[in-house]
Amino acid sequence: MTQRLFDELVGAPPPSTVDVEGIVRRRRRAHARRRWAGTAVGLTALTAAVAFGGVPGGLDGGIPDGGSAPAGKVRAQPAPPRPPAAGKRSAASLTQAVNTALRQQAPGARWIGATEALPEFTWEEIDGIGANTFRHGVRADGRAGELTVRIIIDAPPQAGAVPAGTHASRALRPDGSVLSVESSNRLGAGLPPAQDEPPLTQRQTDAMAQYLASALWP
Amino acid sequence: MKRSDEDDFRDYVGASLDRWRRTAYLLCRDWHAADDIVSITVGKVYDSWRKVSGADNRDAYAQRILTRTWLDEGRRPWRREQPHAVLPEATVPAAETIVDRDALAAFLAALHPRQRAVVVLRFYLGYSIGETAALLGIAEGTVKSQATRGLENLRTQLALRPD
Repeated sequence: MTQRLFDELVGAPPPSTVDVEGIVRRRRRAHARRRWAGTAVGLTALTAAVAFGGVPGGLDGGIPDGGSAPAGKVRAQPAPPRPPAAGKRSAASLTQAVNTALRQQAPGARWIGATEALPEFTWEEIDGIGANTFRHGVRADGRAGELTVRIIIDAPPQAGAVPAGTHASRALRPDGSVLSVESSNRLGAGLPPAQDEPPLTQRQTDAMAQYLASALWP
Repeated sequence: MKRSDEDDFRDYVGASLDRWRRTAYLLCRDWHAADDIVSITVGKVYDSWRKVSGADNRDAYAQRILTRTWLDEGRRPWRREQPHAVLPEATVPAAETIVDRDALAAFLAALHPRQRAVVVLRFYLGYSIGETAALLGIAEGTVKSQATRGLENLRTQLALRPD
């Protein structure tokens, strides 16, 4: 009886203006932003550690393959490859993880590009889908092209069509975001294909995606 | 949050949304404000989903978030209720007059926000005194004392109301 009178008072509710999907999207982005903001501390610490030689072989991940140490300078003994530690990580350590993944999964591959230093992950939006993106030229088995690694927070459930001359692989992360690796036979958007096949094979692309997903977020 | 958790969250919110909206409306008596409160609640439930989903009583946990959200929002300067020259107790309709929804509306409107929350939780949602106290974070004695302001009479009158 009591509840009935309350229900009479409420009457017929108007259409809801509560946008649950929008709230979920915004919260997910906010959580992701907080995670990435936390990497700033790690970036500072890592940069300081590398600059002062606190990390043995720390520069190893930042020098393109084939680069040589300056004459007269004793090069540190390279540390054995190891997956980066879990948790929040800096943009530099993400780049280092990509470098390690390439060395492990495609040992003969080399970075190619106008600059020696590997780029850091940057925020890109394509068709409204934002992703932290690493992009750099690579050469393997005589084939040149571009390697792209993306960490997509609001990834669509289905991967889009893979263009010709590209091998792509996706790994779903525990928090629902997606890590994608693409190996393209072009050295940049709008440029002609360097050859028919991309530099990394499909198997190597898959292996890199799996390695990065498990190494970065075990 | 994992995809599976998000699916669980969506299912739970979908099943609870109507009840939350009705409760929020009874608390604030305005559908726009009610949807605002429910939206804030949905966000907070998302943030605390691990705790909510692991709670013994999900509904009570979420209801606590909603009720406290409403109380907190009511404290914001732009949403503060207008002060009355006459004490709210003096404007509460006599219990015997509460036999229709207009009288109930007037009765609720005259209550202090926390008293209103007590009435809605106790008599609309059917929570016990102990549960109501836990939801509002106050002592059971406080719930009882606030309920003495005609609430038991209200329930009696409503129970005697002919169908």
